[in-house]
Amino acid sequence: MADIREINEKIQQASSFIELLQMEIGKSIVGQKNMIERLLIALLANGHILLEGVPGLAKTLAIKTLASTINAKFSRIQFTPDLLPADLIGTMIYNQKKEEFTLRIGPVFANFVLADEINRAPAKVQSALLEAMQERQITIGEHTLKLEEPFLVLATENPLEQEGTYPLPEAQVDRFMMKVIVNYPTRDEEKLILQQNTSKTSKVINKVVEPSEIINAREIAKEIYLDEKIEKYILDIIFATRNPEDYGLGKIKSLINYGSSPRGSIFLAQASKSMAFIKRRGFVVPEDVRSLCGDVLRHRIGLTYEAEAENITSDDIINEILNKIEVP
Amino acid sequence: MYAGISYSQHIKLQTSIDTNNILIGDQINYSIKLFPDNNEKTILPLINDSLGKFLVVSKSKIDTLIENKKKVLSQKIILTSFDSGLYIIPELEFGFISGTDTTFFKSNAFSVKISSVPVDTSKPIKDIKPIMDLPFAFMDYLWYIIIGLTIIALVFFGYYLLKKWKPKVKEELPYDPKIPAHVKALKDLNELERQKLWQKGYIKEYYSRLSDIIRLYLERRFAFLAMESTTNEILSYFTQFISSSEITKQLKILLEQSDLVKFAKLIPSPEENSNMLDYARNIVQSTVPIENDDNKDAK
Repeated sequence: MADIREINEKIQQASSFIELLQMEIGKSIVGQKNMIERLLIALLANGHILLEGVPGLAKTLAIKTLASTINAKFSRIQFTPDLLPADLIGTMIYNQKKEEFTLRIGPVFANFVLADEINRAPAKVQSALLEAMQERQITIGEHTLKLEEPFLVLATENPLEQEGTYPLPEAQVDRFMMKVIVNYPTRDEEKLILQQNTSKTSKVINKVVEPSEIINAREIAKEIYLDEKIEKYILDIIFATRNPEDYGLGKIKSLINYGSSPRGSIFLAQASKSMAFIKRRGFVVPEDVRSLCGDVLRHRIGLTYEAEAENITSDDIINEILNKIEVP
Repeated sequence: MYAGISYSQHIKLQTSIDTNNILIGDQINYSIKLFPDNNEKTILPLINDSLGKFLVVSKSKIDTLIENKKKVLSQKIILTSFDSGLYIIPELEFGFISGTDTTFFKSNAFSVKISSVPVDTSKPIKDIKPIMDLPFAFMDYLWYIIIGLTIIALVFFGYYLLKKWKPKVKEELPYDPKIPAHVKALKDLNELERQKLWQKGYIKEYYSRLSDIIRLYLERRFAFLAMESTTNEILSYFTQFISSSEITKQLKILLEQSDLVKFAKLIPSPEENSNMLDYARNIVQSTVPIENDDNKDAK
């Protein structure tokens, strides 16, 4: 128990910024607790996040606000069909005076990159960004430049207006740790939004966290204890997406085209540890895994035509699995 | 009918043809009859695929008949020829063995005129006739239809059998459904106590088993997926059924303590370990379903 107590103490010391962050974000964002919690988890787990929701649900605002609370560099890139990879990562420009090529870096060189409406740019731009997400470095000409830590890509896409969009291929969407579905606020929340946006007062968002604090928190989150029973639970869930018939879920086999990749199990474990950190626990409980399953796995399960014809979503599949796999 | 007869004391051999004038390719029926005595054996000439200039189309087996109380050996041979002209069906030699004596008889030879088809050379040469279409006869296709339908019927029958006799996966329950949930839970708790797991140092196993017994009991007793639910979910369901805050509190302590032992390496004191077992018993005993009087009467 001693080591877990030690981790608990470390968490208590290192997690104080979580409350400050939540407080500052709460100044401009009403409700959307789930989305904000997921953003913090991605921040702590060093993963990237994809937010999907109809326009006007404060996806962009939430990311901008989160970036504003951290003393780090923030870039916003509006993805459009005519965007080029060089607009994103930078390019070599010829300097006539010096008679040489000089490097001009693009907006991706920031700590927080908001890729707004990522599905509006063609595949070559998406892949330039996704390469940066995976390798955390950019190569322009002969120069290879490391991206500064923390580096977090927060992408948004809306499920409407699919005309003229370039849906992210499965291999690329797999690199996002989580795909969070942003829902409408409740009636009370919307009333507050209404009041906030029609009043004269405007709230100032303060920078309350240093990047070093986040990097330190990440190191502590890695130390959080993950029992082998939880590991088995995670593996059971992941393998049930691949071979549902082995878990008494033969009825959903025909609905799944392909199951989760190993990234799914890695990200689920990492995200669960981050969730435990946010809850100030030195160990992971099944609740952590269960609450994150939907967000970590929904974009990793390929559905068959049969499932689409029956309007069955990957969330339905995940629910079926969670209702069948025994909690340790 | 053109016939030849060979005699000794009585008729021994009779051969005949049905015509001595045919068109090229037409057939001649050549009939042979032997009249041996009752104790006589016969020697027949070897007839292969031709007889003189004539081709043997077919020959029947030698038939043995009784005519006027006498044995008659009979054979029919069908002959043809594709050369025009006058040709001879040669004489054939037949032997009759009686004891140690053998007597040979020869049949008569027959001359047959084979005429070619008269051709009117003054008329132009006609093209060969096209292939004739036979009128559709249902009977010609009847067997194909029957075979086809039989195959289809067999395929459907096989599919039906496969579906019907497909081994059904029987979901095995971890308990006997005939035993009431509370009876099994209390029995399992007694067994857990008897095993003395925590006393032997198997604390994690003790709490895993303890929480499993309670979760299985709750699943059966309140019909929700307790085995597949987390601690918070179980407590949320439980409070919907049980209003007693004391029991809910005990369940919360038990499940949370189990989680700490299972997932956070907590080592509780011996007193806590035995308290948890008491809590578990109390939770089960306090939530045993009350049988109504009607049911009792019925029993």
